[in-house]
Amino acid sequence: MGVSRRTFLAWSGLLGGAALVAPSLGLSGGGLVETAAEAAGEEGKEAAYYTACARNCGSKCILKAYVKDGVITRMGSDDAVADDPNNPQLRMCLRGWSYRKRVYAPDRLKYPMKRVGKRGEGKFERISWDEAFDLYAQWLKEVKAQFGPGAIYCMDGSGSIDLALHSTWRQLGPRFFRMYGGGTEQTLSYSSGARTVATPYTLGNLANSSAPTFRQTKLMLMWGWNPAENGMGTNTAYFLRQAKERGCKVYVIDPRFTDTAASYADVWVPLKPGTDVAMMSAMAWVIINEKLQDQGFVEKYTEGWQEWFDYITGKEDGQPKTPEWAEPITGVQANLIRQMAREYAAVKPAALVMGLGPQRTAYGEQVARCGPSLAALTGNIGILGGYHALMNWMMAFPSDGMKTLPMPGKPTAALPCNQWPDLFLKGKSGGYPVDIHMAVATGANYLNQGGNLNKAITALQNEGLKYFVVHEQFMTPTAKFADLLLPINSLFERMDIAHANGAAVFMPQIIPSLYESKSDWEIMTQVARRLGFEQEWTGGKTEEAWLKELAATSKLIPDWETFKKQQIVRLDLATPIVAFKEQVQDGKPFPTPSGKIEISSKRIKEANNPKMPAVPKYIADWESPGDPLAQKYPLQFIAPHSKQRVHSAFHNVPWVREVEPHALWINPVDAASRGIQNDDTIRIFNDRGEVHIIAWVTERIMPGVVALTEGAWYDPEEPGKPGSIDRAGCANVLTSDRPTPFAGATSQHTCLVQVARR
Amino acid sequence: MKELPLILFTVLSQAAVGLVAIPTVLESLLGTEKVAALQPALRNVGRLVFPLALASLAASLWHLGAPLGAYRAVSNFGSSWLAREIILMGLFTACAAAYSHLWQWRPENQPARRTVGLVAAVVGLLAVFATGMVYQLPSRPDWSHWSNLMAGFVTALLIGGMAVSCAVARHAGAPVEARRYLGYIVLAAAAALVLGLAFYGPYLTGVSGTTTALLFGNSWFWLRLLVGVGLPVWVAAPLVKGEQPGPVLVRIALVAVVAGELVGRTLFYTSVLSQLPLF
Amino acid sequence: MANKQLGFFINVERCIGCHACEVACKDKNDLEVGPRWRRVRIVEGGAYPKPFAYSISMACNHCKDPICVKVCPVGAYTKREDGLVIHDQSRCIGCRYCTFACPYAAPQFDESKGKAGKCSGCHDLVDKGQEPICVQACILRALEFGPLEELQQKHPGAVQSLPVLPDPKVTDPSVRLQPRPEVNSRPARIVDGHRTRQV
Repeated sequence: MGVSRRTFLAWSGLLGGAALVAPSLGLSGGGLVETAAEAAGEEGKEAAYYTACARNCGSKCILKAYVKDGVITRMGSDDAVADDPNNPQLRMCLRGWSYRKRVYAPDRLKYPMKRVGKRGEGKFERISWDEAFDLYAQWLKEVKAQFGPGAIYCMDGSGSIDLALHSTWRQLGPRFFRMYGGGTEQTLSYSSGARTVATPYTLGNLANSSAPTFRQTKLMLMWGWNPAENGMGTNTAYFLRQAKERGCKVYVIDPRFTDTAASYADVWVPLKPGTDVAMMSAMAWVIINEKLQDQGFVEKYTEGWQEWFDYITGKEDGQPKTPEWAEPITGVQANLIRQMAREYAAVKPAALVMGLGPQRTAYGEQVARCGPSLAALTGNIGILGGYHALMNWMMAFPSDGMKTLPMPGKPTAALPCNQWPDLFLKGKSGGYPVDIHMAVATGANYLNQGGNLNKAITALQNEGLKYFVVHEQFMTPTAKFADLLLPINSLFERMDIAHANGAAVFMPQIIPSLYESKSDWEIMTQVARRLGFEQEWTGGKTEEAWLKELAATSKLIPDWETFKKQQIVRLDLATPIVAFKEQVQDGKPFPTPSGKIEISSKRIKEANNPKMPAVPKYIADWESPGDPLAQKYPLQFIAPHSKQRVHSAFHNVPWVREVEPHALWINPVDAASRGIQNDDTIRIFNDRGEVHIIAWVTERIMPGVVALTEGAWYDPEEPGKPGSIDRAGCANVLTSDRPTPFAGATSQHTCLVQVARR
Repeated sequence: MKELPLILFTVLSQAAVGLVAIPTVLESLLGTEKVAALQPALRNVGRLVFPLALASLAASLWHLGAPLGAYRAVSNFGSSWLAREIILMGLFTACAAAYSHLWQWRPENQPARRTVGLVAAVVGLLAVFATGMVYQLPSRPDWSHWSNLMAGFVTALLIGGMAVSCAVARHAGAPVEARRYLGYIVLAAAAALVLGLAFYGPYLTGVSGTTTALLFGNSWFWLRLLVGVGLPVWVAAPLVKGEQPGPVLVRIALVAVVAGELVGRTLFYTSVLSQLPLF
Repeated sequence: MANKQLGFFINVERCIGCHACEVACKDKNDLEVGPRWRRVRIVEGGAYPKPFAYSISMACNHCKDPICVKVCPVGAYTKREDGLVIHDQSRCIGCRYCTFACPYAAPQFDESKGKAGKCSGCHDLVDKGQEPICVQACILRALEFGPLEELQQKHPGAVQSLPVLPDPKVTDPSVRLQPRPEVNSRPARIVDGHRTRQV
């Protein structure tokens, strides 16, 4: 950056904001906290502070920021302890290293703004904070008085997550609206909706094991799990490397030859998206047919196994789920399925580890229950080095038991987050419990990140939605639809506590709030004041008082002043956490109605949903190669995560953009038949939309499948117009918003497209 | 185009060297009487040397990201061919200034001119050699071939030879020997060029298929050979017989040879640099 | 011999191509878009369903016989006693010759500055007893830095070059790489940021 104090002052002065005396300084109890370099705030001297990255990637890492004259000069890594393979430093990824370009990004929102053009055109005028707070409060009052609190939709995204105070995710918004009398809240997440509902029917809960346990694993099936490109918990990739170096054999099952496959796989098993359960069933058939199962485990710890066996062997429906049956469905050779099944049954401990991708499909509930059933079949649950096939985004870490911000009251209604466009458009007439007339987005770029973006545009532009307030740091595609757009500060500009993966971290306010930005907490405090519940909202406490109070509930954090100085307190990572160890080793019941692993679930049977069988079954997806739609749109489209972004966060950071191109992965066979060469600009389209982006012709993806990483910021040719061509490669222009049949969760990876040269 | 400054610098500087070397050679070979007859023609060429050298120097500075520090090049004269090139080109420009000055203001002072011309030609040819050596890099085998080392001299002789032929064609009474010498020079340069490429082609194929494709697969390359080398040879054929080809044709050939050299140099740079970084 | 030659150890077997080292380097050296003093290049080959890919994170190799030192017209490059090759940007005139000459493309032209620049081994940190920032950043602990002899002793299987890399005889690079089996397979292309080069 190289911003001197002088130019920085001139810069903030020019923009009309007295940034260096922003009220956030006063609120957080005064200035910078002195740590190692006892030079805080002193002109010309450099100080360094630790803080933590609070993003929704699956990891939580320690950051270090060097500051001079109120400006971050460079980043550092976790160097507070020596690096040790058992308790490694909590090092951050490329995005962590790019933070300066994000904090000082030219597209940071600088002051509150009010919409002047059509909603979605992105035309705004600057207003004062007082005007913004008044308008915000007035709108809330109006909508609540006219339609009741349920008409206010709380769109709380994961832009800021797992922080004691400033978490937008499931914290600030819900707390605010509940205090105001209700609001319609979101449940589940775009990431994990299907498994969050379905897996507990089998296992009882979503307990996880820790990554170091994999060092005892002898065979791993990494199934739709991509820890080399997704965090999955700080150091997970490193512990997996340690496992490899101890001789663990690895299968990677994924339509793409991901960096995980490239780095860890002994065998790559490409399979068609949405056919995971077919392959798992075939593996189960091999194991059962060859009597390789851990029958003792199955009988002792599982419920309803016989029913599942009947499905697998074909006793139930006349179709044995043989590898030969699965081969045309999955695209995986029967012999390879057989080999994997035999190895998985023979080698112990073996870990079937699943990512969340396979459950973001039409019948995501099935795979979320089938994996754990397969793990039970081989007796790999509750043992060190085994794994219960939880579909996960983050391995387990020891906890200090710190409490979170109290959340009094209840919402008026709560619905799966992914259903908002349909809810906004249909409301009660569509069978929803409420009509939505106002929405408030905090840390949420939901226009960009939900399925069927063009439908989301019509939802945001529908006349019933009177007001849309967006709290944001940048001019995101969602922010462009705001009626009132409020600039939010970054994690370096406010005080907080984070739980990095294996440590509690005090996050001092490192730099003043830039421009006129404020924290969500401050904004809500001001609006609550105008609505008459400021006292309840703040509890009469300053931000620091809250943090101090919460920190006192931690088993780990010492007294407040020591913690502020010390900044990091750590937990031992080497002590293995094995999910369901008490159940398997100490005989405690599983947290299910039967006390066992419910391969067949009575509760599901009672729900009597034809698309939700009591035992996990393979059901062909709606948009899949067998669908008549495949004539028109023959390619299966998946939208995996990119290491360059956390969902849509960091898309605007040039340092991460330049490391790899954003492009559609397409197999040379599919490219050649369309006359497409590498780096050609192509059209990707279906009935929902059209995207123009470059092609990445690669042997690293299976034929018939194309992939475009999610999170690129929608860039329409015609802003604000549904159906416009997107030039940024925003995957959700193409994906669907159709919910899964049981959980009502997102099914974004179930999607067919056609690709052509432009 | 990114490499335009380098293309202009090398071609212009080599042209300037040719424009001083060839008249100096002619003046040294021909007797006083014949030199006098040739003088009006050579004067037009001699006055051009300095502006050309100056333009090439400007192009070389244009190529630099921080041109004000160019003087520091003296510091690594001991090991860097680029430093040697910069210094020699600087010296040559100074000599060129003196040479053009003599032609402009003291056209009658033939001995002084011949001495200055000799010094300028020697310095200039050394500079051309230095330019060639700059591209003899162990890490860039695609460039490191003797034909590329020779290319700068070929450029100097081709452009210089054609420029002097052009001037000679405009002044009746030029001695036959002058035409003959010019014809030999141009033919020798063209032959060297073709011979160099004949050896470079197979060498390059052995080193880098990509560079081979980028160079020999480019239609500009063949057009340059046809026009930029063919036309001068067409003109040189009557010259060696002592005959005078039509002045218009000679002028066209001069334009062709300059354009040909610019194209050739462009291909020289882009065929390799467009691939960088190789790793 | 006053000091032992310092150098990097790159564990190609461990590297997952995450680019953390690359961005850490950009932050430490305050680089705009364009120059990437440490670059993670991805070597791809094979054919579906058996493709391969591996990443090589490489910066300056602080060669024993550094060609940049030799060819720089203004002597902006110096080789320190500990073997680190340092580029003095204040002397650089932006002739780009070093960017032509280095087999590893370690020096890169920075359009925003009009000068070349390259990895200096974070000599400021090294002088304070710290590791270069890329080594501190590596989440797979695939990068190491230290006296080359010690690195070689610690990793007996490490080699000075790989088939896909330039001939090490040109500059005698002070680098050791832990290979993986795929390095002996014929690569199809090298992905370098937004550039793809067929080989």
